[in-house]
Amino acid sequence: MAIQADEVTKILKSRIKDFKPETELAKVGEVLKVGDGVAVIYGLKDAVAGELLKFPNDVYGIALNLEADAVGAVLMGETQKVQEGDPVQLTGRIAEVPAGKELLGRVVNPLGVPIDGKGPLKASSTRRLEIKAPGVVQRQPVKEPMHTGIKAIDGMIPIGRGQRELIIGDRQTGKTAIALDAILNQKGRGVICVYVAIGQKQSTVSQVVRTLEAHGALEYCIIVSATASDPAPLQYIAPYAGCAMAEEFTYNKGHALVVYDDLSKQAVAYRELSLLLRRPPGREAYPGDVFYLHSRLLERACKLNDSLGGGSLTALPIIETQAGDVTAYIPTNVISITDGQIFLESNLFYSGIRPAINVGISVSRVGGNAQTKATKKVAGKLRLDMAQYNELAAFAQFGAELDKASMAQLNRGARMVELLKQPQYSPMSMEEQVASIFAGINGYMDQLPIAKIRGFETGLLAHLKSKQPAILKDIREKNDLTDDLQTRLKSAIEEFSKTFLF
Amino acid sequence: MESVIAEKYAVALMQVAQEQKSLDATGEEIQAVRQALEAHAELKGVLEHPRLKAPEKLEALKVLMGRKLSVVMENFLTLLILKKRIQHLKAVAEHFERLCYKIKGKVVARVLTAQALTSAQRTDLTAKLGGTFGMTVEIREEVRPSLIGGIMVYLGDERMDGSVLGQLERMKQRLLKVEIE
Repeated sequence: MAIQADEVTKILKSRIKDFKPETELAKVGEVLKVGDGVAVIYGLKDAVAGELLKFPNDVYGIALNLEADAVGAVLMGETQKVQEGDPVQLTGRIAEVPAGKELLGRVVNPLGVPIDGKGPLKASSTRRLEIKAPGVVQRQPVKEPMHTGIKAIDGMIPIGRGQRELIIGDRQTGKTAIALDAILNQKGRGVICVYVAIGQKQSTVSQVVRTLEAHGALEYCIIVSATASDPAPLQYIAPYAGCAMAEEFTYNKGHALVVYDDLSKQAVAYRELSLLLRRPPGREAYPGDVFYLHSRLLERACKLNDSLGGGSLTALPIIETQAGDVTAYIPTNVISITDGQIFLESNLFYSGIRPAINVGISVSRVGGNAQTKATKKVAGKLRLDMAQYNELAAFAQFGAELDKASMAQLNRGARMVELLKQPQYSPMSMEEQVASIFAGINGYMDQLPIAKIRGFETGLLAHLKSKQPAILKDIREKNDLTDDLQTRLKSAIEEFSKTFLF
Repeated sequence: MESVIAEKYAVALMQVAQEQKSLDATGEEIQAVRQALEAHAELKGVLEHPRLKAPEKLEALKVLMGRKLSVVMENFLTLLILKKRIQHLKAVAEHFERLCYKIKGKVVARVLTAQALTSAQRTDLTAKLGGTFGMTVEIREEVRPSLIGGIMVYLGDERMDGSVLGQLERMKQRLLKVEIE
């Protein structure tokens, strides 16, 4: 594609010729004071809440405080270019971000400007940053599974398409790892993934991008990045921007998964700009509407009804707790908004249980309906085994003498814990999960030493894949574990057990 | 907060002035006081000094104004000083002016031009703006050579940009958006 200089000149010439000098009518105000990414603007009587304001030098702002004769706004872009006395123009619209397929595989900032050096972005459409969440009529119950590829989650805390499942835990407990595994597992399933990084290190974000790229996942992902070095307003709008980009697919009969990593940092950014806007501080100095900040975002996750195309938007918000304190303000808020939570604990993490999910207190309120019949059949027993194990394990710590049945329970539980361990970046398909949990709950691993459990699992799956591929195929296609399949699976496991040397 | 306080005082003063039918006189008077305050920085210090008594402050103001204050204005200033609201005088005066214009159906338009308007242009513009807005328009002119040519009118929140500078800017924006296949 060669551009000829004289052609360019021709086009420009025609544009200049066509230019009609006309008087521009605009509603303007004047910057009264500016600083810390926040401006107070005199005038602008007709401004509405959330309206986009235009400052000189292509800086934009969002009107947040409407007072008697001034407007408080947050600034986005090169805020240092805004000066006292600058004219501010009303735009009559609310902030929008580019949306569409062109964004796939790209890293953008919350305004939709690409920051990955892969050239300009020509998005086919735009979407509003903030929309009203779909209402009761537009929705239908969550019914399809959103497999994360992690045995412990898909088995016991299943997530459905359109659900909001919180991932909560201290720093360094593997919250992002779970979200990334969930993204990697969507490969080839037609789910578009949006990863929103809020207040993270640039290096962490670039690592995430590289991981996704290395696993061939970037092509169905959009990364929205507002790092710690970005001003608070950008960090505040980042989740809404990511959500809007995902909605473009949801409302066009697609399925989307959004990861907000993490919302505690967004709340901190919102607190910063609320305090600068002189809104009164409340608990932990957060403004009064910090609950609404998260509820209106997460309420946009949905499973649309069939007349709207049946698309879905699954949200995986992440919250970082301080020293396991889930009773802090933001964690309790987000726990109450979401349809369940996955608790990650540092002591589990350091004792080698990875993913470090505390299955006792993690729940999923709607995902059960979305589980496949096959998973349901094995997961019920798994849950029971784990619950009984946790109860007994507390007792056993006192060194009490236990009867045979209890010993068997402890034995089984310890093996299940081992079985639920899973390395990072290796999501398992539903049928593999079913097969390995089936082997566990039916006692085929009870005789093995704990250290050999994972070796047994790997071997078993390899055996099934090479020698009995029909079983896995049937589970996948029927989505069920019929009696016939159970017997076939049992005999296959027995056959493998005989050859497994330990 | 300041504007809320100032508005209350301005409305009250306005009502008194209307009852006494001395709207114009009161208006001129409060503007004079305001100008005096702006011209003499030390007076501001005196008026806002916490240790000085109210009569002393009022005396200082009167001396400066040449003892020409009307009874209404004197009472008003005393009230402001006693209530420790004298620092809001400037805002009160501005509010008062706006209220006056509102009552008279008048608006103030800020007119920026590259060159000073001729008197014929001035009458023309006043008439034209008055026609557009259906109100008597008082224009305040400012010469701004950076506009290159044309005219820019600010009226309340509205801005009419008919300047050469603005048109060049819009042409620039348009050209930057040209897509070359």
